[in-house]
Amino acid sequence: MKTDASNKSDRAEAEPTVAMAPIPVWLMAALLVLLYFGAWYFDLYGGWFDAKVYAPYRSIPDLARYQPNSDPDANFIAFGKKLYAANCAVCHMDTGVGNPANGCPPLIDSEWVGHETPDRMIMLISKGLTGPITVNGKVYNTGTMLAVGDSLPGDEKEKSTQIAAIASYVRRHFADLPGSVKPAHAEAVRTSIKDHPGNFTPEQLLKVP
Amino acid sequence: MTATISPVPGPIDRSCRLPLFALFGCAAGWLVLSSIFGLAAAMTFHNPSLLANCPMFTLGRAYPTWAYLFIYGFGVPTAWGAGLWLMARLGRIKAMNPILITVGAKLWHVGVLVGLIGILSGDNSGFEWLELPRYAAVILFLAFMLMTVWLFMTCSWRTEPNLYPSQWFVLGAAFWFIWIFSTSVFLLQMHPVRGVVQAAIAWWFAGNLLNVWLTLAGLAVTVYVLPKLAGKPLHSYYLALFIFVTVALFGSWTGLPVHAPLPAWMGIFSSTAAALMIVPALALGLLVVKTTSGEGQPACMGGVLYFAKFGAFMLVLATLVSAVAACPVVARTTDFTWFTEGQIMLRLYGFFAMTMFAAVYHILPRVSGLEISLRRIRMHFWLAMPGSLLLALPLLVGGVRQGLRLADATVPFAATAQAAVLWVRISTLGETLIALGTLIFCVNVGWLILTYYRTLLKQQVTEALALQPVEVKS
Amino acid sequence: MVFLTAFVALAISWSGFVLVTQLQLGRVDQAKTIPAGEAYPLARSGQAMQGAEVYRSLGCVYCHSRQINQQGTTVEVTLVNAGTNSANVLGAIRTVAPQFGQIESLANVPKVLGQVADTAAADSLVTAISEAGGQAMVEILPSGPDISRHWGTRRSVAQDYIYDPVVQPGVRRFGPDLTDAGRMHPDAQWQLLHLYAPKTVVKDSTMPGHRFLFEQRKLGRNPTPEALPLAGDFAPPAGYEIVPTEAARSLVAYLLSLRADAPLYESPVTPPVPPATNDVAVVTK
Repeated sequence: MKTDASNKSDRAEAEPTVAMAPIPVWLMAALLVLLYFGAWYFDLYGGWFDAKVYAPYRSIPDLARYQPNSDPDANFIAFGKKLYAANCAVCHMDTGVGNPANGCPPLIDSEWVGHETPDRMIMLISKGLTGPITVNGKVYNTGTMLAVGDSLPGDEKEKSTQIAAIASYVRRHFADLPGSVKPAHAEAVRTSIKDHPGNFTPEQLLKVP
Repeated sequence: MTATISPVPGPIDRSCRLPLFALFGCAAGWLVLSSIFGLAAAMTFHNPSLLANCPMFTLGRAYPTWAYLFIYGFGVPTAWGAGLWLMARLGRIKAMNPILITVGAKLWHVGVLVGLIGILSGDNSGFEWLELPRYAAVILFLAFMLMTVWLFMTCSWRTEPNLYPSQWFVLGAAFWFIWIFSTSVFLLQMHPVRGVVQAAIAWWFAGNLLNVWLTLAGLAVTVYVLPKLAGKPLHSYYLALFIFVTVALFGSWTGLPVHAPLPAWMGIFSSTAAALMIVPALALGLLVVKTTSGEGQPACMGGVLYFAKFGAFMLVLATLVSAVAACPVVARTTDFTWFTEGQIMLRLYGFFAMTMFAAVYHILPRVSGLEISLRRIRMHFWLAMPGSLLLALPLLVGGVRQGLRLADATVPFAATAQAAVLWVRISTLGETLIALGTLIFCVNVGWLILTYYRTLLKQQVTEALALQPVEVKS
Repeated sequence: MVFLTAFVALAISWSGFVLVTQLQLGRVDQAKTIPAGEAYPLARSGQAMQGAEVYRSLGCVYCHSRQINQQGTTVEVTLVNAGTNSANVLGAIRTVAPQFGQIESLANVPKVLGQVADTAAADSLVTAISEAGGQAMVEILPSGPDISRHWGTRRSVAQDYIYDPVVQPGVRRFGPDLTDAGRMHPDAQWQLLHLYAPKTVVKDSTMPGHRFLFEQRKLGRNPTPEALPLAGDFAPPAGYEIVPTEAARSLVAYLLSLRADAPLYESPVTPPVPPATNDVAVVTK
């Protein structure tokens, strides 16, 4: 322990002073270079303040490149469209207006197409139809619609897939129903009508939920 | 021989005595306690089951306690005390209302104690560097305002109109603390915002606290002590101003990890800001070198200058390391590892604590008129300096090793932790040295304050005894 | 002047990181997953919310992070079914995606065809394959070490945290990331054992046991049903059993509720295929 009587002058010491040396130029240059690189980097990766853009995505268009197809059934329906053009459009037309002169009913505004479940349609496509049919309050004297489904190529599984695709396309395109008909469902329906002889009649189909 | 109170401290120094004793005395005690909890936290990496059965010493409680006591127990009071003294000295005015400031200081320490009990009993807020529970935060905020009002008054009534750079730094630090602390406490604890915004605010707070507040508060001392002890003028006014402005502008954007679950712009902004901090770091290095080098070697080759100079260089180093680590390519490896810890240790123990030791060792003798023996200051320096290097550098190395393994998914997770174990154990050695150093610091400060009061008491008793015969006679 | 600089600097950063963040993310609400359209995230149970408090109070965040980083994203097309005419399908693949020209045969389905640039390219390939009579699927696969370690399936985004009372993404990985803890170890018993003595279930674990979350009870006539099945070094003394306290149970409920793998717009991912359920309607004749 030492008292400080000897150091009196030190206590009344002067406060430090400050010189006025300028800031070196290289420091300013470094600041500018870093600012430039910062801005460049931000432009590249910063996503320009968008709240939805997280690394490693760089921007909304970049993020959009990785979005899953918001309609998971789109490809299946595209497949159905192709099959429809090959197998159905001859009578029902590409636009779905049908051919009333030949007794071929329209698919647009049809309560058959817009029905809640696809089961009737799967049965109808599979085995065909005989007899007059009422569509949207109007009677069409259909002679016979062929059993298009049964005549499609491939084994039972592939037929079911194609019928499901056609049904999906028709339901989505002409009745604006969401989703798609699953091949497994079509297969199950077809299994249940496997032993049905000949075509269906509208009355038989109306019993199906 | 009996120490007598030296008549030397002038009226300005005397006006600061009471508040500074209150601030520095308890702060030294908290620092020792903080080191103990730091060591307890480190023990987890030597033997996980050693302290596991006592919830208070599990890593999840010891670590926040360490950080809390360091910042709020030691950091804020010492920095504030040094700031008050600088304000009074450089403004050539007595501290305004020292009694209320002392009340504020005592209240602050009561608040720290309340927070400590809260954290140990599991009431930590869950946000790093803001661990204190809500009720303690209120006490601390009131105490800080009570003290700071008089700091601002002292500044505005100053008789020396020209501001010295230290004064900007002190004012900036006080202003910064009020703003970031009130925002964070209000938006995280009083009226919590929802979801990840909490994390963003907590990171913003941590960045501002560690990279701006700590820097401003420390540099206030550095730019005062260095020229004073080196016996030369501060090299450049403009450079000091440049440092102040760039730290305020860029430092306030740092803190958000670049890969945080926040929109890309925030992380990129933050890492760019951290890179820009290179500029003030270089400017500081230049300022320190130019101010202390060359002729005019100080008459007093004491440890105090060493503390301040070492601290300043460690700040330069820590800022450069953070700038590199904020670079997204590097962050990919170093984030989530011991590297982050090492960087913080460099800043806390290497820069801030050392600078504050310099401040306390410089100021206390001046306000009390008592000298702390140079031998003990040197002893402290030679424990704290290698201690802080031994603490931080191995963590940086271990962190890189751990990070390289974390980034390789084929390495099993256990091996990533294993890669750093040796280095973490070496760092514990550094932490032990620091703890011993803080013990010496505490003894130095405690001894000075006790001696002061003991001498004061003796003097009064002597005076009373001297007076007595007179009284009897009359 | 100096004060003004400080004020302006801090005000800018405050508005940037506090105000703008709050405006951008503060009102983020439940979102719909893409493409399934389910609400995400779902609120936690009361017990799990209590567990979140235990998680905070014990300072779990000082060792465990809860955020997944991602370094890239790839889009992969897998052929599920080559259909009847595989030459046709192969032709379609070669036309739409010439980069897969080295594929010689379409045997061994499902077969990963390879990576394409983005989902649009993937979709046109899948459409071509469907038209040729085959079936294919697209997978959006985030990548990065965190994801390879199965800590999560995609990067973490703001949405993942909206129902956390205290948001703790954490900055340390002295223990593994817990973003998907509930998916990694969905077994409550596993979690309890891990809390009591981590080495019983993870041999190399460096986590300290949290025995104070458990109660050592004298064995009554019938053992308590929720007592931990402990043997060997970790078993309690004979005649005693280890029963988790309320805190331990709620912490485990919280850990089990940690799951962040829903596909969102900000962070697209193809969710792992759920176990197939055969829900074919029975058609009556």
